[in-house]
Order: sequence, then structure tokens, then C-alpha cells
Amino acid sequence: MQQPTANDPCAYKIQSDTRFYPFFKDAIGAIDGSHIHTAPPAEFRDSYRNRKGAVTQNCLFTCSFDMHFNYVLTGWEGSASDARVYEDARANGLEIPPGKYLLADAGYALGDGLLTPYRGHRYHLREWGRVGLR
Amino acid sequence: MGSGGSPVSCLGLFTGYDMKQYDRPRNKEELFNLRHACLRNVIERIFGVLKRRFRILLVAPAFNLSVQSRIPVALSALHNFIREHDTEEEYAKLYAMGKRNAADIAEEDDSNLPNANLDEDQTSVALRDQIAQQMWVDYQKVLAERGMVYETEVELEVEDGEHEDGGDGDGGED
Repeated sequence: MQQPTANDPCAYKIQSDTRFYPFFKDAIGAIDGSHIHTAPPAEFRDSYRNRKGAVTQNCLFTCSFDMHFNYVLTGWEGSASDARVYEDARANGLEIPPGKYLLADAGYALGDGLLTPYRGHRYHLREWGRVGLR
Repeated sequence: MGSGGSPVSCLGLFTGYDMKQYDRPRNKEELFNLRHACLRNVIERIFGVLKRRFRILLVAPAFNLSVQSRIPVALSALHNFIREHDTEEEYAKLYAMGKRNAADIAEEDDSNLPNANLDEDQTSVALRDQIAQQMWVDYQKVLAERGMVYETEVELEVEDGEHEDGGDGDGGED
């Protein structure tokens, strides 16, 4: 599994689309946590329970825009937050070249190599939708 | 099945839905979030593919914990290997396979989490604002080219305004 480097060219998916280029030219991929069901010994079970009540490990993945995984960190208890797992990943080999970033959802903090959305704004939008008909 | 299936009521229902679904972004934050989500979606896709392809990820296998934690790593590597050898056609199929339903996405939607403890660093806040602003200016330009009306919440700052009052068209230089 390879991680992007500072010299990699901008992803085709970004470069070829004027909605994304040049705005996201420094994005090297996307990141998110995924809860995967797990079966820990009984005495640990509670700490593996995520906020939805399922017993899981919280796995962190990053991927490129052409659907390759670039980094995986597994083994965190389901109760750990995405932000906490990210901290650990940064201490354990997740590399983001200076000036580059990964796209993350609002469960992560903006900064330290992550670009997150503005919180508290609407979604379900289309760029060329009708407007003013509310 | 009710008796109210007249074309008119269908249409009414449908346009009501459409209006909600097809709202256009009203400010730079909404536009940024829309395009950001569009691009970030690749990670949702790849999770969708992984979990559809390797069903073991949907159950908790009875191995010890250290083996359990290595399964997703191994399968991600396998995914990459398969991806290397995909044809474009297979890739398109793969991409479609990754489409997740609303329930899947809601399951992992973190956008409503309280984030009081997430501090944002100011350089990144500025970077995001700058990207969003550039996008918004560009978007207004494209809308105008397409002759579409727009409503603004943000005052548009005209960048080095190219004012050619009156005199366009007849450039008799040389």
C-alpha cells in the first residue's frame, strides 16, 4: 500500500473537472473511519461498543481518487472517536506532505492535513438546480 | 393504492420533491460543502465496494483480536491488487457497486456530532475560506455565462474589474 508523496501529480478526477480544479488541486485523497463488527473477549466488550450500540473496531482508511487504499489503521475500540483514531494514525505512519490535505467529514478537526466541510450548512443541493422557489 | 393518482397530484408531489432536492447553493459555504462532498464521496464508494465484495467484514469472525484487526488491512490490500488489474469496464462496475443506500450513509454520518472539542487551526480556516471564495466567484461567472439567475447572500467582489465602458467591439489599434 503506497502513500502519496509531495511530487505526485494532481489526480485526474480533479484536474479534469472545472468544479474541482484548481480549487482542490492539493487534495491527495479522502479519509474516513468505518466501524467493522468485531468479537472481543467478554471483559473488553463494553469498550468496543460504538455510539450506535454495536460491538465494533473503528478502522481508519484513506484512499486516492481512483479508488486505491493508501493507508489503513485498525484495532481501535468502537468507542474511540474518529478524531482520536486519526491522532494515532498521524503518530503511526500516516503521512500527508506539507501543503497537501485529505478530504474529511465533519467528525474530524479542520487542520493537520485535513480539509473538512463547513458545519451547520444545508446539503441536498445541486449546482444547476432551480433556485428561489422555496 | 389510493384513488388520488391523477397526473396533477403526481406532478405536484414530484415538483415539491424536486424543489427540495435541486436547490442550488446560496453561498460560498454551501457550494464548498457540495463540491467537497462530491469529491469525498470516493471513500464512501470504496467502503461500499469493500463490504460488498468481502462479506467477512459484515460479521464478527471468531478469531483472536489481533487476527480480527488484520482482516480489514489484508482485504484493503487485496482490493488494491484487484484494482490494479481492473479493466475500465470492470472499474465502472466496481464504482456502481460501491453506491451505498441512504441507510448506510446515515449510519456513518458524523455531520451532526457535537464537535466542541475539535479545534480548528486558523491557517486552515483561512485556506478553506479562500478556496470557498474562489469557487464562489467562479461559480457566479459560470452561472452568468449560462444566463442563469442567481441569488446571492455574499456580496460579489469584482476582481480587477475589466471595465470597457461603451468602447467594446471596435478595436482599431495598430
